[in-house]
Amino acid sequence: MPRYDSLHGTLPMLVLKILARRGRLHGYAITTHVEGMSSEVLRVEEGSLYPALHRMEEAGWVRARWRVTERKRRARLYEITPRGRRQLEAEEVRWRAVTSAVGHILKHA
Amino acid sequence: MSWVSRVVNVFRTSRVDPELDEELRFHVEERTEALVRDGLSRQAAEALALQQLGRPLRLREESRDIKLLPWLDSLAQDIRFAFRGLRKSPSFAFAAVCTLALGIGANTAIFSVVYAALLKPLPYTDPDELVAISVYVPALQSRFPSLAIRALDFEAFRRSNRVFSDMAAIRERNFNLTGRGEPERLYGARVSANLFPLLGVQPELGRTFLPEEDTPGREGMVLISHDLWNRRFGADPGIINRTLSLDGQPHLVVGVMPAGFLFPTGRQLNPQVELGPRIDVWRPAAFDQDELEDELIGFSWGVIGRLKPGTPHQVAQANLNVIAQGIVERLRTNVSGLDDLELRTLITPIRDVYFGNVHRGLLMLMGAVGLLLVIGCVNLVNLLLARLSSRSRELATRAALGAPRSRLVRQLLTESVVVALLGGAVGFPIAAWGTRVLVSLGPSDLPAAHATSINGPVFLFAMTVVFGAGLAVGLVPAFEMARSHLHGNLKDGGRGTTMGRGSGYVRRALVVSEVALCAALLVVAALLLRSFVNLMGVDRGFEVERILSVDLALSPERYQGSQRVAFYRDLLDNVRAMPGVASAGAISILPLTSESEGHTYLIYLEADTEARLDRPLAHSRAVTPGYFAAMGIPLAAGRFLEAEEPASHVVASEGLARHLWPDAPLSRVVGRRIKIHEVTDDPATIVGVVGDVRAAALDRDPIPALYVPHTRSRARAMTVVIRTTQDPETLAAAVRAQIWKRDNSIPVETMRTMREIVSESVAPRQFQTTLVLLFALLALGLALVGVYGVTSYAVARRTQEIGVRLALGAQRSDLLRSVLAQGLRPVAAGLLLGLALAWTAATTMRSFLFDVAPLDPVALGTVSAALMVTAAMAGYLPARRAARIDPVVALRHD
Repeated sequence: MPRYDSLHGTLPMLVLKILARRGRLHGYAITTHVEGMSSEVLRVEEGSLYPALHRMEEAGWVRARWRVTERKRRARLYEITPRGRRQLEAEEVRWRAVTSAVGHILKHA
Repeated sequence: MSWVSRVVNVFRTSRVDPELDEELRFHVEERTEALVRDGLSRQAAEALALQQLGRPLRLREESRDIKLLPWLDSLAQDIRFAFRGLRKSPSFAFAAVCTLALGIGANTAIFSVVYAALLKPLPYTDPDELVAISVYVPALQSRFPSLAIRALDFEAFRRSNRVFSDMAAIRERNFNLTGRGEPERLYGARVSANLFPLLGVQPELGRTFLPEEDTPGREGMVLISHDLWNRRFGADPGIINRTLSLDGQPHLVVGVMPAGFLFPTGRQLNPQVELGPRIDVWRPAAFDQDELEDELIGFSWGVIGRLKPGTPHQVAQANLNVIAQGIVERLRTNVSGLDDLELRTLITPIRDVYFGNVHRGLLMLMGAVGLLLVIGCVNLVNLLLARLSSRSRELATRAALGAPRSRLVRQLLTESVVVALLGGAVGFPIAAWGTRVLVSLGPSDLPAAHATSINGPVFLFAMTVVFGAGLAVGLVPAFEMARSHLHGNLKDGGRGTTMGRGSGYVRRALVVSEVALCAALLVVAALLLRSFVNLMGVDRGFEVERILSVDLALSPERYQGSQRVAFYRDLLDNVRAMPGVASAGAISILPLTSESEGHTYLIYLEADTEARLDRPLAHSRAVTPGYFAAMGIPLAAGRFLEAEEPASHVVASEGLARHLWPDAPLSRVVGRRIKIHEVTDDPATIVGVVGDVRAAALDRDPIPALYVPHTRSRARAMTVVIRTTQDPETLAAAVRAQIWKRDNSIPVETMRTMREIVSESVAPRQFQTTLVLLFALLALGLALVGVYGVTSYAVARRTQEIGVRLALGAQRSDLLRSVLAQGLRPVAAGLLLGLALAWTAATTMRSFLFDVAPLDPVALGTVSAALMVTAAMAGYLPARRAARIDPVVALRHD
């Protein structure tokens, strides 16, 4: 049984979002996209990306397959699953709730 | 990913790692390419890429850890939770652990005996090739299912067969050991010299017999048992080549057999071969001329053969049948009137020799104790369900805090397995102790001596039971929880309304199954008990109270014909003169003892001129005057045998007289003449008819019997029976003194009261009955706890509702009735189901019943009544609590 707790957090959400938007990507490409998307504010600790990807794969949020790239190199490509999409939606709702709550608190502080 | 593949991952890292390696290498290369494009040198780019990735090695570890460590970690957490939970509800823990400990302990104890008897390899080389060989006459098979083999036939079988690599013959030969120390009766056997290599057993000391020692004149040597060597000779290695005086003849000790050497005892090898209860000495068979030539004697050898590898039993049997046909033809030419005689051979696996008679009984016990465990588990499921509902808030909270349902399910399973393991830990000493109790209380034919230790397979069985029970018990509540709405529970969390429809259904179904199994077990126990009571009350034909029996064996050298007669006459006269003795006599074979269908003969009418297999087969017993009086066997007609009775006078049993002359009144039988065993023999005159005696076994019909004057028989071994006016045990010492006063070289080993003999003869049945009854009562206890638990739970859940009803004016007595009825409905359903189950069980175990029908109304009625009454009592306590509820308190009840 997966450790869901380690899946809560920003990185998985970002990964899901990227995969949802861009389709199939290998790990390195995900890294670059994360960097691009968050203007390198959220710089991905590359060491933590792969464990996270594997956990998400176990949780069934992403699916991975070995494919040969245009440059004839074998790469592991990740793809979001329907379950991953549902998770992403749920996370986004939560995320919005938390941010609005934070905004609310800040307003009345 | 399932936990199975998770565990597999730990062992299969090699498959996972190259993939991860490749993925990381790809990452580093891509990053390097990008950096090179940005203008870095390849070397610098590679170094930076690696640095950004972090230490790949560590990363790899971390990635693999994902698969195992957290799992182990959370398992440890589950186990900690389980223990904490159990500590918090000690009464639940106590009940659960006790129930399982009992079930696991009892199952393991019985299994250790079952294993020893039915599964463990026998201590021989390739035991599957070993078989016992016997013969039977189809016309007599109902009475004699298997006959022993004559020496000359054994030789024919051994010589002519194509299917056995070797064969050995065995028959009893007991000795009186004299010389230093008290005289001792030794139980022994004559065996073919090749027996030991055939079995593949080596002596502990010395050697076994040589082929040339298997000839008359050279057989004055013995192998002794490890036990005798220890007991009598202090395990002195110098015993080899010493001589022992056996029946007054010197015998050279050539070897000592090892402790635990498995050898047939009693009538295990063949009903006709009466070996001792243990074997002290073995002597070469050394067939003599008479045994090899006389056509009419010596159906007295048991035979063990080793089949050539891979020979099916039917093939071997067919081959031996051909040889048997030849034997019959030779017999017919020598003896007239055997036209309808047929001889067939019978092959029995060696395991059945030892354990065939306990096989079914053991399986029955295993079944009973297995049911007990199932009932215990069902009970536990009920307890766990009750606990689940009282914990629903805890579980709902955990679910709300993000624990996935699968994790909670696993938590429940872990808990039940932990409970089972605790039960196993407590049950294991119970099993060890139980095995010892089985050994000490079990009848002598229980193969318990081989089951004294808990060994590997038994341990494996116990662990399987533990985990099986743990998971089985945990599954129902886990399933129950998985399909329930945990969030709803958080809201009302056990607040009492009528219990949820689904869960209540499961719990009632559990009570139904529990009661059904319990009822079936109770009915079986009741039938066995009724059988036992019937058996003890059956008309035995003789009395048992205040009768002492003494087995005596006079040595053939010192007591020839008249000396033997005189010895018994004088001894009995002296015994009768002792104070406290009412009467005394002696018989060659006492009922219910060695039984031995030996000395059984065909009885012919005086007019018969040819052998006929349809004539009655009767036990022939030599008796002294006073025997019938001492045993309380009534006279039906004529008179008893007297002191100076002519050898041609006999007394017949009623059964024999009826069989020979179905229409004649018994008084008319007196004076008629019969021929015993041989149509050519001189006829004997019946002077009296006595009552039938259940001589073979209490549960077998009386066998026709013929009593001859002991002056006529050659039996040197007789059993003296003494009817006393006081406790017979108090006379034992005086009787022994009387015997030794005449001859102190006579061993007096067994002095038993008739009561003891009867008890021993029914010991296996008593043992089975007691155990099944015990298991059934334990099952009843568990089922009642179940009924109590479910009713209490229902009351607890309905407290508020009951309060409302009371407030609205419901009568307390109506409420009591309603709660009780709710509790008893599943009991009634279970009872009906159980009676159907019991009927199936009872018909398959018909052979265990005595004088009781499988649908015995008394047993069924008693069990039904007892079950309903006790269940009503168990349900009454919580029902009364419900009726006493204070409406005000109940309405506030949370």
